[in-house]
Amino acid sequence: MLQHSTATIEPAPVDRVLQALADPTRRRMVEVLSEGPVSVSELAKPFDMTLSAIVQHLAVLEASGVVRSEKVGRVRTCRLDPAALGTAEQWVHQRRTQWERRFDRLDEFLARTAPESTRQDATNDQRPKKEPSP
Amino acid sequence: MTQHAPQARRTVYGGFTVERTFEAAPARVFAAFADAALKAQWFGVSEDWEITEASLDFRVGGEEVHHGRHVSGMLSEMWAQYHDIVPNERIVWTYRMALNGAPISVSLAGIEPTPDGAGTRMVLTEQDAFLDDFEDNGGRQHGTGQILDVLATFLARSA
Repeated sequence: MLQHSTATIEPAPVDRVLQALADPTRRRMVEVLSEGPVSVSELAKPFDMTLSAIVQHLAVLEASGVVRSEKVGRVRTCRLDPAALGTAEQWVHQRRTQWERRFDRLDEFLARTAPESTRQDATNDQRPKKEPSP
Repeated sequence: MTQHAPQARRTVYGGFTVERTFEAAPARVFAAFADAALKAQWFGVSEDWEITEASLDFRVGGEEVHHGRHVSGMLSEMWAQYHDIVPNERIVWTYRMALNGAPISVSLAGIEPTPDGAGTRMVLTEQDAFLDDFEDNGGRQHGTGQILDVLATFLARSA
């Protein structure tokens, strides 16, 4: 059935991921890491903030499982965790989500182009009225 | 031309269905898939994506192309072919996808709209072979993008 109600999604781990990604700086960090693993100092480079602020953001990302880091010698290297973002279930989920998103748009499209007689809100529709035939 | 990166091979098979009820007759829902001009108004339309190439030859054996570039720069390419068409009742097609030139998936998909009162109940069924590159050569970016999409929806709903 519809995987649409907010009640049926967002178990705890997803909450953590969403919270981690709710911050624009952390999203930008994830974008940087999607290019490949980098050291903490490299990760901090594009941002106009202190290293300790970056480290705090990094801690949130690590707690969510989205990012892992390991220290080799004096360098701590960060990378996205494929397990958090790339399991088979998630791939399927992503594809399904993509279709649900498309169907949301299809739903809007059908409402927007509905024939006059069946449309509930006809005020802002400038499209020609037509019932497409197969 | 897409090309696999040299790396360990991994293939994961999966599938899913999505059901949806639309407040439109099956003929209108079907037309939204069958008519290129109509499909262009909903399929793949998103603020985050710029459509770089789109064509649809809707007949058995006909092909569809849908390429786009995400705001992040990621290039997504889709090639599809239609295999069974029953007007207003069924469409079956296959498609493959590549991200940044690397093959990520091969899929078999179908929709079956059925009348539901004045509207349409639709079931989409899809089976996928997710390829090694899905994860390693763009899958992470793709996954990240998807999660950000989910986030955006989540935030919009809870606003």
